[in-house]
Amino acid sequence: MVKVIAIPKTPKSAYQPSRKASDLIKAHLSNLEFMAGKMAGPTRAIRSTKPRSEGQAALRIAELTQMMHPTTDPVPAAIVPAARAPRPIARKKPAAKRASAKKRTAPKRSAGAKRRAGSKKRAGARK
Amino acid sequence: MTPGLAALKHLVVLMMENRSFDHMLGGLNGVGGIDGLSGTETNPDTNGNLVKVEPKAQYQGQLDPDPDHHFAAVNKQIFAGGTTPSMQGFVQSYFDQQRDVNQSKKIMYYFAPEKLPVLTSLVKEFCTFNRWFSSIPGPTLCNRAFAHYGTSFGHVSQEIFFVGVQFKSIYERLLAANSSGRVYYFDAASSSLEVPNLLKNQPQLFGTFKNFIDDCGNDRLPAYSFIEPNYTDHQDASGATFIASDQHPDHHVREGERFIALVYNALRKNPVLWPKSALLVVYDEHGGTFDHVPPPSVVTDGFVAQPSATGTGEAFMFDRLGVRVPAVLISPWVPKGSVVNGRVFEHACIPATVTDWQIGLFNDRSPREKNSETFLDLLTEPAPRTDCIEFRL
Repeated sequence: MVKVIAIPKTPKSAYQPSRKASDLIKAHLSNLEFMAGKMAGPTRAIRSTKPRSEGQAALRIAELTQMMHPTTDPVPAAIVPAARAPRPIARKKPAAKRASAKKRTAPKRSAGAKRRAGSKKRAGARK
Repeated sequence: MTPGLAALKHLVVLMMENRSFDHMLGGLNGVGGIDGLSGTETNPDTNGNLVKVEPKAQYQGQLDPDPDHHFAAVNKQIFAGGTTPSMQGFVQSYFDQQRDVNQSKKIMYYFAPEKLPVLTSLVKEFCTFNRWFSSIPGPTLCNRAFAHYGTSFGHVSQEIFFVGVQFKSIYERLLAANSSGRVYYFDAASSSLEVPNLLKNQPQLFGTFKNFIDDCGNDRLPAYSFIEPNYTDHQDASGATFIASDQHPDHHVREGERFIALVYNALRKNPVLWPKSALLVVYDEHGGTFDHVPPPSVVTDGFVAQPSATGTGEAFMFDRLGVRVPAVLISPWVPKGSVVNGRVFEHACIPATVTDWQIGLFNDRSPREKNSETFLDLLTEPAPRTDCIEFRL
């Protein structure tokens, strides 16, 4: 007679996507980004990411894997919020043109506009 | 040729993450001749006190931070500052990470056998290797490279290094020889750690774990399958959660147990597939956890890692192995509760075995792989056993 061994379930508390991404996960993601960049070719940029949590890393890993292996089972929307195509690399304008364009379009800043969001709160916290 | 080898049509390798032999199986010392822990093994802590091994390992929350297992740290664990491999530096190496003496002692904890019902049952039921070592005293990716290429091409770390390499992976070799091989990764949010360049160039060599389950059910497995567990905690569209099953600290070890059982059951429960299959469950490296067996010397790999890469101030000639890891060969053709002694195995044995089995003479591979042991001679039963266990999940 064949012996059947019952295996207990893993507790739900084991699920911790907010834990810090390990060195392995970071290396895994970095390598996938490198290869996705090679696959995308010189006209497309693959953004480099530095996720802090394992859950964030999983999202990006899913995007890249689908890009490299499109026959993978579709990754559900909850995992990949939106199928993001690689951004095209913007061609740089010559420095002189960039400077003149900046002069034409940049609005004058008021003193208040220089303050970054959150700076008021930080200032308040110091008091 | 043994009847088991003649019957064999499918070899499946499941590679788990970052646990040493003693950490997982040390508590089975003496069972069928297993070389585990006597209970008297010690390491000195940073105060000079001896820390004894204890069966207090927990599934999660104990090895946090993740014990260092980069080359320099593993060197310290093995040599403890000396010139011979004494295995006396594990506690001091773990201390380096948090400067916490109490935390550093936990690296000596091992699992009581009853806490690992799947792995322990498979050991008692099938064939365990007393001397299977990681290929490099270093981290995951370079060790896993040995399972696919028979070498890491001179690398001892986690960087990508598979582009334009001189030796073909086992999967490409099989494809060229009109055989078949596939890497089954868990899903897109876990992906394949192994060979991103193959993922780019050879997508037909890959499938997901769902494909593996389907292929087992439909008796469509390739000759060689390599399974990757889930490396990340993540969700699917319905909000269902997937817990990482690779057993990498600090992932829950029981989920890895369940994953091993799932792979085993997929083969075991198909009566057509089971008698023509073998499954190797093996860990990629020790992940910083204690083991008492000094790694042996080995035929050099033909590559050299420079001092800047090793972090030890010395070059590494790939002439010795990493720390010992659990490895169990599972098949109805292996004798119940058998233990392999007197032979040294490491991850280059995997492509060596598959190549010998499926291709035969094949010269274009690393010196290490050419000199590696193969393991299909262990299928020695005269007929497939009918008493093999099943798991209920």
